[in-house]
Amino acid sequence: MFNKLDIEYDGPAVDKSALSLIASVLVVGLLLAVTIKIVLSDKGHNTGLAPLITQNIELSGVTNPITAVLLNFRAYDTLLEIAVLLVVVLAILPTRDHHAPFFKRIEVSKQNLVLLALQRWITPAVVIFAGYLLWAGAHQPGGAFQAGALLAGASVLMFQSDTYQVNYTSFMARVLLVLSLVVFITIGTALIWFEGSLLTYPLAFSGLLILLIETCATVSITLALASLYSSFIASENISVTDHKHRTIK
Amino acid sequence: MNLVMIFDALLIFSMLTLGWMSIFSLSLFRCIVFFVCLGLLAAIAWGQLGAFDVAIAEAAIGAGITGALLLAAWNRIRPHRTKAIEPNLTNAKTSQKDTREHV
Repeated sequence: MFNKLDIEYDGPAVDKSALSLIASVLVVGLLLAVTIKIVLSDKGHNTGLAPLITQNIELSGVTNPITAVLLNFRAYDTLLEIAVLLVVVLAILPTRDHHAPFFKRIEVSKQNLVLLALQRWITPAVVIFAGYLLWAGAHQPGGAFQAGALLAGASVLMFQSDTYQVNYTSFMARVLLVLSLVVFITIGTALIWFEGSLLTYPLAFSGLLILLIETCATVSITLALASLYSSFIASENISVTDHKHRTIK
Repeated sequence: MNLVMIFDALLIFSMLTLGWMSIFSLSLFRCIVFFVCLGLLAAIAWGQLGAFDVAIAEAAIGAGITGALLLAAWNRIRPHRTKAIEPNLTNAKTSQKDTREHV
């Protein structure tokens, strides 16, 4: 090795691949060491906020601790999440005619029989199950986000055959998209008037208010996730409307 | 070593394998399919940890909606090959070059 030493070597001083290998091994080793240290040092004293929530669960109006945290104890967190989702939808909203109807059904001559049967059987079941999840969120796992995601999955299934089109810039769609945020903010600020602080539900109505907010959130989340999917598949429809902007070769 | 621990170990192993495959597969389509499978296994893992809310959300969003979004995006960026299909089956032999498409 040493008798082949190149005096006038002007390549890179260090081997890049070896350097990255060393770096990744170091990082993985550090992470593993920290994980093992944490696992070994944890003696069960680190219970987090669980006892605090189980003590105050009667004040929340629901019996599911996760819904209690998301919609009552840390409601402003969920409020901001819904706002972020709305911003995302505004960023990717497909530009289309504002005056077109919200929902359009197009007759497609060639129907895929398997897809049609799947839509007919699965979509109603999914809709019912989403309603159940929304209702069950008060006392067992479930809630607005899960129900909304399920409904969005159902709408993705419905979009597969190009029969149904939703215009996300129509008035109706805009109302439904901002519905949850508007309801959430309205209830939250109205509670300042009645209860004295933001998003502090009165004990008698807290379950009802949480259910109302969750229902509106389900509608908005469904439409938001469905519009994410539509923004990907809607390119053919858009290209018809901005035909005049296209450069002609 | 009871059955649950074996199941957990298998779950960890297959999640790591699927994570590796969903990043380093050659074909982008395979990456997406492995990612969806990884989402389903992650839902099972959340269930094993007792976080059923997260498990439902992961199954619906991580595996369902994200998979659909990724497939739709893949459908837009892949090179569309509009090749006329031979009606005669003996002539419709695909060459090895056509099937090797890493997108």
